[in-house]
This record gives sequence, structure tokens and C-alpha cells, in this order.
Amino acid sequence: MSTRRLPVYILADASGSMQGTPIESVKSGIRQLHRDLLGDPQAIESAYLSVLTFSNSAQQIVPLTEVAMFNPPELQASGQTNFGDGLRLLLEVFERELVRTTADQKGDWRPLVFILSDGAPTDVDWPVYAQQLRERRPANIIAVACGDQADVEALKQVTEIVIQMQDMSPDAFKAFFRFVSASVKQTSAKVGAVGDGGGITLPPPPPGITIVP
Amino acid sequence: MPHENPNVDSPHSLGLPGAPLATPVAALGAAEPPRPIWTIATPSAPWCPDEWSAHLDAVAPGLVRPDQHGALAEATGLRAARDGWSLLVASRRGRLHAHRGDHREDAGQVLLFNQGWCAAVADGAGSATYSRLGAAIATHVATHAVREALLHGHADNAESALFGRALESGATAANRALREFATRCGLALRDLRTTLLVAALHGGRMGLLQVGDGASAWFDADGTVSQPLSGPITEFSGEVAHFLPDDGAIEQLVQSLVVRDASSCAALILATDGVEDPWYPFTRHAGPLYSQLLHGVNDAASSAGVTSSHRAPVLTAPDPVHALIEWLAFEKRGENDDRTLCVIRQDAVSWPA
Repeated sequence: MSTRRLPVYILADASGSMQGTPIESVKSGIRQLHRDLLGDPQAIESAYLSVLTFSNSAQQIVPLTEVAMFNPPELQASGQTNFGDGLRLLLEVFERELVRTTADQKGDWRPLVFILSDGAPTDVDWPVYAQQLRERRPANIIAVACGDQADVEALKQVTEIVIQMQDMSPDAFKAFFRFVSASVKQTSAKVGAVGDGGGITLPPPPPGITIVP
Repeated sequence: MPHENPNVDSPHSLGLPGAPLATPVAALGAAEPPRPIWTIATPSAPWCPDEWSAHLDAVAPGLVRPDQHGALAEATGLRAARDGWSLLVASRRGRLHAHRGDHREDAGQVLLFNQGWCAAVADGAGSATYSRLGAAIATHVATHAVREALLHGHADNAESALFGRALESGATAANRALREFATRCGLALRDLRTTLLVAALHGGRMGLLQVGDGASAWFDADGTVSQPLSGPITEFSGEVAHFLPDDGAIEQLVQSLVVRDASSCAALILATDGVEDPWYPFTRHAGPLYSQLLHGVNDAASSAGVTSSHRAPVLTAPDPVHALIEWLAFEKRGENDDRTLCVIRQDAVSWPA
């Protein structure tokens, strides 16, 4: 008798280059996302949020939590960009947290994942996990290249949906998280064909954010 | 839903206030954040653009549109009876579409004819811009084409294969109509994507076909409940492997055909996933669902975790159509899709619940 959930994961780069305004903007954006979703009855009933970060290693800061019970976390930025560990952790939490449909129960909706990074991976293992994510497609993944130093090609190894923030100003992050909120609301209402590019229908990105071809 | 037979009751249209509302907020107490509540908004776009009306009439002549009764119908329903069979169908816009001012994307249809009937339910894909038209066209054309095939020499009481071919002709007619409509209107096939579940009776045989999700349940005189057909199980919710009129879908629909002797059938229900999902798995919960329709709700929460505000029996109500529409307003957290349910009963056969 469990509720069918729309799991939403935010995997954020918390490396040293995100110190200061960028990580504060991510925190603020998550708070804004939470407030937006609290205003949507469908999201309250079905959206579940989780926040993960990667720097020297990856952590799940907030496990999958229903919107009404979610507490926007404090985030710190320092260290390297262990992108591979972030992807590995994503695969691990999918195994642990997601409920799949069986003959006895309806499973979750396919998860939405937003991966934010402002730089290039500093580990060597990331291609292995990127390939697993791309081939298995356990979620609808949107990768966000934050600013002009982000490694777009690395993000493209994870997912075909890569968007680019032109700068890392607070307003740019604010616009991005409004896009996340709109994506969550839209995804919760739409059914897609399994073989139809994932069936995800995203809203148009806001000004300052472009889709990488 | 058109009048095809003097035994058919007038279709019901339930128009509800459609003025868009500001989002009201219910305060739960000082320690808890305010929670928004569901609203009801009228769609701003027409159900069918005017420039396509003639094309719709061409591919689905006689199709009754939801907005042809003055106000946009929040829900519709129809009851019909003949030759010892009673049919009841209702389709209700889900809370999510109502809140967002979107059209209902489900459709249902029943037709009676000499020695038989045909029924269909369909659920337009949420990602398809005009799936409401797809669902309506599919149910309308499939049922009419099956009736045509069964009445005019395509099937014979002694020929089960011919009966099956009559159902297949209904399926192919629906697929063809969708594709023709897309071509006429300059739409992509994906814009009309819909599931389809069809059942028909003739000469003592019952047949079913299905593409996409949704569910059927057969209630036998021996007390058993079975699912003649079911949609494929996909890894995650809300993902459908095949939609009409996509390439390959008609083959899936035709291959799904099941034909049974109808003599021991007490009832058959057809449901879109807006009903199946809250009552999932249907193999376990279809029985309690049907019991609710027969006898009313006798406890606050059903075994499926569904809460019903309409507690009286539906099938024996003075106005079963209205009762079914009200019953379709049951609540279950996170389950806010459009809902369509068709209940077909053989009067002389009872299901010992």
C-alpha cells in the first residue's frame, strides 16, 4: 500500500572551486526548490528529495525524503572533484532506495537526477561509472555544467541531456532551480513510452541556460 | 457517448465550476508548514481545435465531444442494457488535470447491438499533446468497427476465428483512424498516443484486446476473479511499452486477443490505469473493488489503501452512472490520474463474493 514516489536526486559538486557564492547559491536554490514544491499538491504527495555531494569523496547528505519532511541541508565546499565517487554513490543509492514495479506492487516513477559540476573530474574512475549510468539508464539524468570551466564532455559521458549555465551568479542558480522545480512538476504528470528517449518532457530552460547539443 | 439503442440511458455530463482559482492554502497549525490544496480549473484550450472538427467528423463520425453539452464535462458516463447484459461506464477527470486546467485524457465507450455488445476504455499519454483526441477516437472507432464486423457477416456463432477477426478489425480500424487524423491535421503520430482496452460479446463468446496499461478482471460464477489480459510490467511506474498509433503497437494489440466462452461470466470490468494503479495488484484487489460497487463500502479504508467518500452501492443505485462517477472520486495519496471504469454484468449469472 506504499505511495508511488517521484525520487529527485541532486548530486552537487562540493569541491574547492565551489567555495563561497557558488555553494551558497546551491544551498539557496535547494531551499527555493523545496518551497516551490511545497506549493504543489502533486509534489507534496509524490516527490521525494535527496541531496548528495562529491568532493574528495561522495556523501549522501539527505536520504530520499518526502517533500513535507525535507530539511534543506547545510553544504560545505572544499577539496578535489571526485566525480567518479559521486556517480558510484548514485548507483548505490538507486539500489538501496528505489522501489521497482513487480507483480505485487507498483514502483516509483523513474527518478529525476540533477548533477551539478563547475569543473573537471580529478579522479580516474569516473568513466566506468558514467558508462554504467548511461547504459543502464536507471534514471532521467540532467547534467548541469556550471560556468565555463565545467567539463561538458565528461558530463556528456553520463547523459545526453546536458545544460550549460553561462555563469555562476546567484541569479543563474536561482533560475536553474526554478527550472528544476518546473521539471519535477512536469515529470510527475507525464507518462512516456519506455523506448521514447526516456519519456521525459522538460520545460524550456530559462535565459542564461542553454541545452548543449 | 451517443444514443445507439432505446435501452441506453441518456449520457450524463457532470459539469463542475470551472473558474480558475487562486491556490488556497490550508493552515495545519503553527508548527507545520501550510499545505496547498487541490483546485479545479477549466481548460483554456478547446478540446478539439475548430480547424480540426471536420477531420474528426471524417475519421470518427458521430463521436460526441465532451464540450458539446454546453459546459466542459468534468466526467461523463453511460448505462445500457439488453439481452440479459448490463453495461455501465464512467470517466472522470483526475485531480491533477483539474488542478492544472488540463483536459481529461481518458475515454470510454459502450455499444449494444443484436446479441452482443462492445466496450472500450483508453488513456491518452500525458506526454502527448492531443492524446485526449487519440483516446476518444480509439474507443469510438474500435467499438463501432467491431459492431459493424459482428453484425454484417464477419462473424458467425459457430466460428470463433471469425469472432476474433471482428475484434481485430476493430483494432485496425482504430489505428487507421488515428493515423488518418494525424495526417489530416499535420500532427505527429506521437501527439495522439493512447492505450486501448476493448471487450466484446457476440453469440455467447467474449473477446478482449489490449495495448498499453490498464486492466481487466473477469468475475466467474464459480467465485473466482481472473485477469484475462494485463499490460506488461515495466521497471518504473507510468512507462508504457506501446501506444497506438505508434509503429508496432497494432501488432501488439492484435496479438493480445483472448476469446472465452461467456456463459459463466458474472461480470467483466475494464479499467484505465487511473483505476488500476490505486488498486494494484488487480489480481488481489479487483474482487474487493467489485464488492464495493455491488454492496457499498463497509470500512473506512479498503485493502488497497483507498479511501472512498461514496459509500453506497453503485451498481444498484437509482442512478448508477452518477454513483459510479462519484465512486471514481476515491482517494489514495499520489494517485490523481484520470479514471475510467467500465462494468459489464450478465444478469442471469451472479458472482458469489
